[in-house]
Order: sequence, then C-alpha cells, then structure tokens
Amino acid sequence: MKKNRSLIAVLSVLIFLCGISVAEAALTLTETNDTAATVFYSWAGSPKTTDNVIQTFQATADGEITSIQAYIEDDEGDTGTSIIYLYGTWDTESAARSGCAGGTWLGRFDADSMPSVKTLITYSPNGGDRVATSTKYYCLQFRQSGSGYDGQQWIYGSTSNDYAEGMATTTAVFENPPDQMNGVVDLALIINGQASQHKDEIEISYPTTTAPQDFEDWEITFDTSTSTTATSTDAYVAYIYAAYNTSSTDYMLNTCGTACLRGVDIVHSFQSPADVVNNTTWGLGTIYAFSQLFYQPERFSNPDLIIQVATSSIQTINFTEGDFGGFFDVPTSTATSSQWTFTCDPDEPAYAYSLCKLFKWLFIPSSESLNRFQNIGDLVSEKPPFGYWTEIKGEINDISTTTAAFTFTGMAALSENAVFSTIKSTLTAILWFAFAFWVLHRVRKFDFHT
Amino acid sequence: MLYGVIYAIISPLLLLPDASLPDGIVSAISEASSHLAAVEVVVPVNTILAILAAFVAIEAGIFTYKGIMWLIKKIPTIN
Repeated sequence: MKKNRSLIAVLSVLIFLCGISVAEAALTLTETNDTAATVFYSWAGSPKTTDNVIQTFQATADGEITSIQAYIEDDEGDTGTSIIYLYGTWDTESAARSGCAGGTWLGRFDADSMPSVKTLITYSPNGGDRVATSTKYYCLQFRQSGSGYDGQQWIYGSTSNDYAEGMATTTAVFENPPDQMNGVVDLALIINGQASQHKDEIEISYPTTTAPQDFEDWEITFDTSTSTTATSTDAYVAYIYAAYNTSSTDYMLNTCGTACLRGVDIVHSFQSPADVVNNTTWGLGTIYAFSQLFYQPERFSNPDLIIQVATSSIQTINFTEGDFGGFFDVPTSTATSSQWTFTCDPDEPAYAYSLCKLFKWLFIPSSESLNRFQNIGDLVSEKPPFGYWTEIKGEINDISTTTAAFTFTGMAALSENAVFSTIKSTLTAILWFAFAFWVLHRVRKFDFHT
Repeated sequence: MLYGVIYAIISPLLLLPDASLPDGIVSAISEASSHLAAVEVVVPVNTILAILAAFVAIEAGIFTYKGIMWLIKKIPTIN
C-alpha cells in the first residue's frame, strides 16, 4: 500500500511540475506579440547559456506601419548603467547603412530607468500608404554608451517592390557579445501595424549542461523542397561555411570565407526554387568546427551574416523550421558527441574485435537512433491529447501585454512615473508572498491519505 | 527495437488529425490579453497570470491525486 501511495505521490509531483511549466510560460509574457505587432529582432539572456532568437522583419506592399517600439529589459541588480542610443528614420535617401546616419535622433535611453517598452517612432494613422506608392527606406541604429561605433547595430531595409510581396529586410545580427551589454538582459524592436509580419526566425539552442567537447560526426542538411512562393526570378542564396581546426579554441568569432576552410569544407549555394537536399557527414577525428550561415537577397552585394557558431561548444544547432526568407526552409543540422563514438581496433585478435563489434552493436546507439528518439516528442506533440497541451501552452506564450486594445487617458504618463513603478513592484512582491503563503498552508493542511 | 515498440504504441495517435483549440478559446485569450495590456502599467498582469496558472496547476494536481487515491480504494486487491 505504501509503495502504491509513493507511486501516486510521484505522479502528483510530475503533474505539479507540468503546472510549473504553465507558470513558467506565463512568466515569459513580455516578449510575445500578437498579430498586429512583430518583434523582429530580439535576444534574451546570454547566448552562451540560453536560447538566442534572431528574427527578421518584412513589410508587405499594402500595409502600413503605425509605430516602432523598443523593448529593453534591464537587470536591476547590475552596478553599471547601460545607455542605448537610437537613431532612426523612415524616409532616408538610401537603404545603405550610411543612410541612417542622417536619421532622426530618437533618443538616449537609460536602460536602468526607461520603461520596459518605449515608443520610438509613431506614424500618423492616416498618413498615407508608406509602402506601396514608392520605395521607402527605414533604418534604426542601436549603440551602447562607451562602445563607440564598434558596438553599433544597424537595422535597415526598404519597401522596394522589386521583391515579391514588397520587402523590407534587415540586418538583425547582434554582433556585440551580449554579455558586454551592461545590465541589459533583453532587447527587442517591435513593429506595430498591418505592414509588419513575421518573416523568419532562427533559434540557436545552447545546451546549458553540456561541457564543450569535440564532435566526430557532424551533419548539416539543407532542404528547399517545400518552397511554395519562389519564382525563377528570386535569387536568394545561402552559404554554409564549415571548417575544422586542430585548435581547441572554444569560440571562433572571426569572420572568414573560404580562406578559413581547411581540408574539409562544404559550401552550399542554391538558387530557389530549385530543390536542394544535401547531406554531408564527416568522420575525421577531432573536429573543432564552426559554421556560418549567410543569407543573401539578390539586391545586396554583400550577404548578411545570419549566424556563426562554434560547433565545438554546442551539441546541436537547431534552425527553426520556417519559411526562411519566404522562399526556402532553413537548414537543419545535427551534431553527434564524441561520447557516443566508439571504435573497435581491427588490430586486436579476431575474437576480441568481434566481441567489440558485438558489444558496440548492442550498447552503442547510432546517431540515427538518437535522432529518432529525439524526434519522438515532435511526432505526438500535435496529436490529441498532447496536442491540446501544446496548443494551450502556445496560446499562453502568445499572450501579450505589449499591445493594448485601447488606452486609458493618462496611462502613458503613469508609465513614466517612478511612484507607480514602485507600486507595481510592491504589488508583485505582495502577490508572490501571498501565493507562497497559500502554497505553504495548502501543503500543511493537505491530507495525503485521502 | 525500443524505438519500434514506442512507435507502435504511439502509432494510433499519429493517425489522428492534429489537435486544435476551438476558435473561441483562441480569440478569447487574444482579446483578453489586449485588454489586460491597457492596465499593465500599474497592475502586474504577468504576475497575476503566472500565479493563476500555478494555482490552477496545483489544484489540478491535488484533484488528480485525490482521484487516483479514490480509485485505488475502489480496487479491493490493491487496498
């Protein structure tokens, strides 16, 4: 009986943990967006320890942007001050980065004191179609205090109808290591209005518990076969550069092209809508590899570096399934840890070699098997009854408190008032304290035998 | 082999269509969030939602626990 009840207790704990995941989802509400707002660039936390999300932005030909907001979350416990300089404009003369230099001075924002969401540019609701009538450009510049122009980040694009659906593309790579952003733990730009729509996102997962290690088997897969919107005139080119090195450098952040490739490399380029399925596997001993993914729309002479990572420090690179650039799916890749690689020595006696092979077959899973187990969750995540849980969790994650259906008069002024910020913080603390007290009381009074 | 067993167990699920929430629930959540945003300046909406979710999860866990215990007592060979 006691064993059964112990089992039940364990089940209850599991259910409780599921509930915690719901709570966790609700806690991460601030960065989400609804259909009328798009976070087109953001990162959360340090990419060395947590997920890093990079998103690009696209404006449609018949839409209209109503405002651009910045979201900055600052670590209140930091000792320094992080100042963000922002320049931006909509009607610059050029899509080039230099065009942004003449942009409107939007302000100098102290991340320690600014509200979580700051409206940078507000466009007149009936100011005319800014997208369809002619080519328009926009650009924004982030620059942190003290970083000089080395740390600047440009986000720019145009609404040229040269592109299908009219496009505005961005450079959305935060080249500055986020841990240099003093106190800033999250940063995002939010585009509001009908003109904005989610174009693409790339997620890079960094395992937090896996120590840097070598990889002997690394695979990158391209698949463009699901393209639905590409035409023969679209020339989006993506490159993957990969290399191995005998150095144990954990992070290779230098930008390089083919000159960096040593012996083993892949350079894939493909032109949509051609179907390209390409698998490359290495088995070359110790590999300290890095990869670069370039995304090059035809109009730009230089491709935009989307991501560069050192595979020696990561176990997987997960490029989120999506309509990358609107024309092809992003590549997926897998990396197999050398921990799972075991080689039998053929110079051993035949019986020892055979036993080795036998035990290897019995107990060492292949990378294919591991990948299949990793995908089991995906197979059922959308199916009933698990799919309902997935859907509900997704909906909770999508709850946004950044875009209001209406506004109360004077509410905007309150957001600037430190008193109300203090009141809100106090309310938050009181709520959590009350909740903790309730949990304690509930556990103390709970009869585990009924 | 283990994968095959697991796949065989879940294969009936794979035949089912993808689960989707009723439109009403989705629109209700979206609508509620847009209204909550209006008072988010002074009211810690995120905290309230998080606590509400945790509350529901805990109570659901307790309810399930009690349900399982009740079921066990109904099976004479176990109790």
